[in-house]
Amino acid sequence: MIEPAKIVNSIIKARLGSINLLLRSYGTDLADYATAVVPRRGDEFEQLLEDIVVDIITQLRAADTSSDESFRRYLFESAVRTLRARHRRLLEAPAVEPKDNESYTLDEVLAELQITEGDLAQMVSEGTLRAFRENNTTRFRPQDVKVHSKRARMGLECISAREREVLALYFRFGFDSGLIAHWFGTPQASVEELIESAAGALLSRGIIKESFA
Amino acid sequence: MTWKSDSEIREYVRGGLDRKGTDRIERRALADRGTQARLDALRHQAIALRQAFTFPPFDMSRIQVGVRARSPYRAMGIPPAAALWLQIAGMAALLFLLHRTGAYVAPPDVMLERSEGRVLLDSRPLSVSRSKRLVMNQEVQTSPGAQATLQLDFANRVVIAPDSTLVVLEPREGVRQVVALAKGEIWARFAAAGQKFAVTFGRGQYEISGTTAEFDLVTGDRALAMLPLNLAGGADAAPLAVLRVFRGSVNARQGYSQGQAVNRDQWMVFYGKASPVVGEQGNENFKLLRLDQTERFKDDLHWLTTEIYPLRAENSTLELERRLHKLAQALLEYRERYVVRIGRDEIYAFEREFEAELSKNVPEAQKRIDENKTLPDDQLPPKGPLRISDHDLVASAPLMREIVARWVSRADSFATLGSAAKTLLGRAQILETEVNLREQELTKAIALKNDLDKLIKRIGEDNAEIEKLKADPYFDLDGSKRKALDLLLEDQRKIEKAAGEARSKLELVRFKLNGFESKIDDGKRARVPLAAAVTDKQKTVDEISARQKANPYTAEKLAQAKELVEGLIIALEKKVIPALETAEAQLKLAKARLTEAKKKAEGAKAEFDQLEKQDQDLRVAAADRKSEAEQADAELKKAEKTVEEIQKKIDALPEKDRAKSPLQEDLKKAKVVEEKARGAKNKADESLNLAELSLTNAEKALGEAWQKQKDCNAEVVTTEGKVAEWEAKVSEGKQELASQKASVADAEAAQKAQEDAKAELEVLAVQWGEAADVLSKAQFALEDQDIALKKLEDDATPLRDELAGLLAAVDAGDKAKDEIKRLDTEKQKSVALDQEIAKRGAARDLIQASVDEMKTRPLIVNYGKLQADFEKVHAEHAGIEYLRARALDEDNREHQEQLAALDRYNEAAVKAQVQAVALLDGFCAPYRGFNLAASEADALVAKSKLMEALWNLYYSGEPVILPDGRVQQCYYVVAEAGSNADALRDLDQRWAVALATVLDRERYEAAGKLSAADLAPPQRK
Repeated sequence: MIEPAKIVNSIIKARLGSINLLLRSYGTDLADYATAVVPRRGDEFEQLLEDIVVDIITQLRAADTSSDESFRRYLFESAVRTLRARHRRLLEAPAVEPKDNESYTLDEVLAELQITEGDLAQMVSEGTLRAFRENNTTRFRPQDVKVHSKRARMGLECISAREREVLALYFRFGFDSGLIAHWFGTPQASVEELIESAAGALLSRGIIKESFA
Repeated sequence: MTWKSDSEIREYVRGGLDRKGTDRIERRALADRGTQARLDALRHQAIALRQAFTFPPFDMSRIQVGVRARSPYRAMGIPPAAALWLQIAGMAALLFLLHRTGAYVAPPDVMLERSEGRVLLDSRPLSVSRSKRLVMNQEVQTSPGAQATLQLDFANRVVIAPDSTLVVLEPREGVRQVVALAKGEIWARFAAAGQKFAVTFGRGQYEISGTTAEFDLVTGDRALAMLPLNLAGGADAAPLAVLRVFRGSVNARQGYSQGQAVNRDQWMVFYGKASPVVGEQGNENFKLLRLDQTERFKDDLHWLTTEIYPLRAENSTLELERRLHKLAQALLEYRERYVVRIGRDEIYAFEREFEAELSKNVPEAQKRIDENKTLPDDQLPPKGPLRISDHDLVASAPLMREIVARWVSRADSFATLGSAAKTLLGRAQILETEVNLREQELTKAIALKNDLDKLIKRIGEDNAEIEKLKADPYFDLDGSKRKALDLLLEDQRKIEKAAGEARSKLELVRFKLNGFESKIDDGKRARVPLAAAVTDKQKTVDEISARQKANPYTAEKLAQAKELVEGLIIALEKKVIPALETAEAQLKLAKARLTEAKKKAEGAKAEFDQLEKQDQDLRVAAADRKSEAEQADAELKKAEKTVEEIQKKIDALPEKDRAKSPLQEDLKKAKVVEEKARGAKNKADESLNLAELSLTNAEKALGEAWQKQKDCNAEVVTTEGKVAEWEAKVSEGKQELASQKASVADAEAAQKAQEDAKAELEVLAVQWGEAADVLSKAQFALEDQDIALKKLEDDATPLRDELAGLLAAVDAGDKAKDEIKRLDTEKQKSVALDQEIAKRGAARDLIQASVDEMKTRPLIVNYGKLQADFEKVHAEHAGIEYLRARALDEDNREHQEQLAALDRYNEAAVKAQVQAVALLDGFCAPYRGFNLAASEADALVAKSKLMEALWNLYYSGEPVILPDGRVQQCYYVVAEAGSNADALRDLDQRWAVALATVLDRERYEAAGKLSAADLAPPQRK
């Protein structure tokens, strides 16, 4: 792990490769944070991630580089503020109930699986994705789409963006609820309630389980 | 122990609990299986959630491109290729300088304590065998690169700088040691107490005198280069000399003037006409820079030393130091002036700008508020803290001014405007929380007030509904309506009771009546066939009577028919048949005559046709003959004409003319021809006459034959008329016969019909008699049945009347029952109405009680205060956020300007570095017998790196932060700050590291053994 002070110094001095240094060390976490808010990695996701990184760099002089943990706190506090200042609309995204019984259209499958039409045609010809005709349009079975979907992103959309964000910060990135509450500007109790309700929602829908079975 | 929620266990799983909390949960888990199970479940849940929020890798390349484009930090680096070319150019310049540098060899001087380089004594080089003692008025001249040291009275020293001339003058009164500086520079230390000294310069017009002092005096052109750094402005004229006193004091005077004391650490600059200027020596350590430890002027830089940083004052040279100092000073001044931000200035500027903004915006907002035309939402910024309403702006303006004033009062304590603005973050967050809390409280109050309004409205609705119910016709305030209804109900119940009694009798009467009715029905059923039989028999009698009436037979008609038949038969036999036979005989005769006449007519026609044909032939022959006659006539006329013409010709000629004889011959021939023609014509005329005669005879015979034919045809026509006449008569006779036969047949048929009718009439008479008997019997049986039925009807009539009365009573009872029901309903409605009014009244009273209670609640009582407090806090929060955002915006702008200045500074720093490296390269001469690297090219690179290291250690915009946290400044900063020993030691170490980085170990150790004497002379020009 590269020292945060070195990263900050090189970025401020605009050394070549300094931004790559930052993204190599912390880009995966920031991308996962942005994915938690916008599970479908499209244009909105990329714009959010870029804004987060740009804001982090712009305010980099204010970063606490005394330790790696303090620097991570700075990164995610900046990301949380960017999300609220620039992309509040994404944060207001409501929960989307997963499509259990309905079939998927061609465009929906391409967006869901993030594949090209050529890949899709190959999957259909190989029989890994079964298509059928309905109302003179090609539809795809939801069971097949779920099998090929990237992990549980589909399931996570059954809770709201705000809930996904707080779960990611708490469970994925390991920040305590008090710190998250401070970033959110809300009481700690409400953050804990949000964590409880969101985790409960994922449990009730079977997205996660409380046992390894 | 119970758990309020899973939060604490989650914190334990996350490892975020303190020791006490951890112990408590672990004890609990050991003692309680439920807690342990929950702990396991939440641990698994945390793992599952962490996995769920760990997503596939994302390619950050596009993000990197976007971020780089938007990064506020820009590098001002020289591309590697350009840097290489710069180094090559620098090396070339160095080689050029080295090429132009000459070498000088100085002989020693005997009067000198020490001499280096070319030293002249009275313009003659020193010889080795010459004594070192100088005599008065001897001139010691040092060449460039040479220097000499004089020792006076074994204690005082005068060091003559290169390219200088000093004359030892004779002592004056009270002044034992007198020297004149004709040119150049000297450093002198006069330590012998009680012995005055004097140094004259400027062609003897200036003099420095004293007893014990240490000073440096530089004259001529060199003085300009050695002016004090802190000389303010400088004079218009070039300086004549510069004096620096390091110890003691001296008296400096011009000509015979009184003179001026120049004390320790002071300098004096002499000008030609202007008065000398005195000043304090600054941070520049002139002596250290100008003289080395052995008190000789330093002209060469011993730079490859591993012990100390070569540019330290004790090692560097004044010229190099001054030029480097100038570069560094310019960079630092630029940095301090443009790059380094000064919070105080920013805050002052912001205060002015913000106050101007408020002075403009607040009155405008107040005016809009007064006119009730506050800015609509679409004219405000779409979002963010700069979106402040007119009310909030006006309300928070004093607070914002107060905060800005506070910043101004503490301006020196803020590094930037942004740091001042960030002090508002905490308060803004507190206010945001407070706004949220108050908003929640106000929302509760508004909700409560809305509930209260709804309840009050509900009370009003209840009152209106009660009044509406009271207006209902069923509303019975005193019970009089229900009393009247009770009376009516009583009457109807009596009727209903009578109906009940009638209903009980009804069955008995109905039973009796049914007996009669049954018998009547049986009688009626029995009467039906009887009546049918009477009708049937009556019909039979009527039919027979009708047939009797229709029978045509009468006796008279029968006799007349017989008589007619006999008359017709007689007429037929005696009249009609004989007439027909006569006509048929006449017809046969006429037909035979007709046949004969037709035969004659056909013979006549054949004869006529033959004669007609002959006539045609004769006509043709006559025409031929006529044509031949006309042709013969023409021939004759022609011959006659020829004869006449020849004759005329002959007649015309004289008698004896010889020409007459041929003409005579011709005339003869012509006359012969004429005679032939005439004979032919006569023959033709005869033939014509014969033909015309034959034709006339033929036409006569044809006429006769035509007449004959005509007569025969007329006879045929006449005979045919007779045949037709007789045929008509035969036809008439046949028709007459047929008609007569038909009349006979009709008459015979009429006769037969009468005879048949007579027989039928006799049969009908027998049948009518039988039918009349049967009808009479049936009529008797029907009459008996009707009598029996009438008797039964008479018996049943009283019972029917009784039944009708009973049924009427029952109907009345049914109607009374409906009426009772209706009256009961009306009564119940009236009662229900009273109950509803009472119920609504009770409900209204309850609501009124709730309203009264709600009105006493603090949220309602203090609603106005809550509203005002919320607006106040909201305005305060909005104002602070607005001010903070404005200040941060301004700070950001300053930051951007700083970045731009930093870019320019970096650019200048790079240029300065290039200049400094070139400068250092000129001052850093090579060492004899020592190479920086194995090859010349590597040596050049190594030297270039060392020059850069020298400069970077001399000046750096940013301090170096060591791993142990210590901050290392550059030499320039250290020297300006007073040359802290530790800082200088750090610089020495950093230089040693730089050397070790560039040189290998062997060369590094060899460099440590080098000294200034190892520098290859000459160094530079």
